[in-house]
Amino acid sequence: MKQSLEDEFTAFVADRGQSLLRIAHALTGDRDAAQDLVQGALAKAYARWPRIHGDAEAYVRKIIYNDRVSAWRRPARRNEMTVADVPERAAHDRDVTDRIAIREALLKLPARQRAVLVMRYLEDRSVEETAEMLGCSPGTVASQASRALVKLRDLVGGRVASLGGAR
Amino acid sequence: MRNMEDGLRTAIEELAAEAPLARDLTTVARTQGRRLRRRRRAMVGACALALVMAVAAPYAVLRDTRSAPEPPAQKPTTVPGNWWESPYQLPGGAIVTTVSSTSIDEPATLDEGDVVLDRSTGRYRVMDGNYGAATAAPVGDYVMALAATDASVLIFDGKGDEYDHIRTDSMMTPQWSPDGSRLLITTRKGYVLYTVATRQVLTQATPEAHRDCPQICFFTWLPNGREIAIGLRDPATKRKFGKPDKLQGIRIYAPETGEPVRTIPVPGVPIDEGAWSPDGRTVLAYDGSRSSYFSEETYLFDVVTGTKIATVTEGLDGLPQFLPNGQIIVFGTPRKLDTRIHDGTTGQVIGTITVPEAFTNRRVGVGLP
Repeated sequence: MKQSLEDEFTAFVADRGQSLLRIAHALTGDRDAAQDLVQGALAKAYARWPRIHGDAEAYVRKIIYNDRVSAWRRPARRNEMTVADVPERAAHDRDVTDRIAIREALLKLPARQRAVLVMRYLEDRSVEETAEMLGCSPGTVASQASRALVKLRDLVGGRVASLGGAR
Repeated sequence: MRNMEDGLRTAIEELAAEAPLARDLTTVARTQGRRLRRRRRAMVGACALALVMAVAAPYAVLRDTRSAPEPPAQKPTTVPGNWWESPYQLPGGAIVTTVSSTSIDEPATLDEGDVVLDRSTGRYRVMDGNYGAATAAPVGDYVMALAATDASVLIFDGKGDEYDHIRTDSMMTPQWSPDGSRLLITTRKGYVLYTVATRQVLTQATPEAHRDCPQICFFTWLPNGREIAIGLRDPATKRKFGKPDKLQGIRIYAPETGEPVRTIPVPGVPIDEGAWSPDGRTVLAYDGSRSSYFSEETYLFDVVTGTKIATVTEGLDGLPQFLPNGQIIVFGTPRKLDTRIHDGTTGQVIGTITVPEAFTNRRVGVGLP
């Protein structure tokens, strides 16, 4: 690869690497898995860099999301954060307790549903952008999000008072 | 709902903030990337060699190869059973044409895969393969499937054989025209209109439609099958990142020319195929200005006045759709098991029906026998 393209790749990773790791960690809940996910996506990007460098970030993000969703089909590669990994907080702090409960529930969601929520709540992406990223229809995105919220309610409903019947 | 969304947003942001620091990403990516490139070149070389071998091989060898069993075809397979053994009847003479997969991760089974009606046999079959979406035409034999891996749409004929393959730049779910003769695919810059009988692909750019449409931005057919519609936000209102748009109306286009023909005063976004009443007087739409689109209610609007007539579904319901007799059906979900029938002019529930459990929490396509 030409030196100018090599330099461009280096600059891209330096500039966007941390942001990509944030997405990957929100998707996996596991530091090693997040690192592997980003590393793999960047390797694929490097292999195709002369062709994709104009829109590298979209390409890498798409690989991160899709690799994560694909990885879910192989149980051996599931990277769940156990309850023990959740930082301990003061039990009397209701908001914190609620958030931990939500977080635990979030990490139990299927990868696609979690991916939809990460795109929505971390990246503020639209339904269409999410659909394009995940390679599915807007209707699928909306239904996945809806199911995710239902499942979250099921998982945390008993423990988080503020989640019940607020509609 | 808001509390949950706030808590969820905070939980996700906290998770993201705990990401490890980026170290040595470049070096490792380069090493792995070079390995990938070498592997890819080796595979191209191997394919080229195989091609040369095939051309150079004696005819007898080639004939042997031809007679070898073919790999499984990517087409629907017949599934024996109960409800799927004959067209499932719905109120008003409608039938179920499609039962969607629960997600594109799910395997191709009756309970989880894409199930379509084979009109030649009168039975349902499971699509073999994972698709972003698959729907049978409301009338006629054809089935559309959105490829899960790239932006292409596959058309299957009545026998389940691949009839055509359309490449677009979009992964939005194509919409069947009411007579099943055409497909409408919203793209990044406009739409593609595909005529099944002639295989004609017409690409139209509609920059103003995409510029002015809200976050939920795709075309639907009007019930006359001669016009298409897309949501229109209020262009005078400044957009706020992550906030719903203020909606102004629904803009109608002539599909053949891509020209806007009129705007109707409904401040909503038609929800999907089946959004419009058969007589065109009411429409099921999201009101994106009211709440988060992920927990969206759907409303019935009067097309002429733009008045919101009723709330038809809430976030935990299934997606409503019109039946050919003008009633609205809302299939059950795990939270709301009843499948409801609503009056198509008032939006009020007029009854519930029992449907197979397999329809629960899946998108059920409706058509005519």
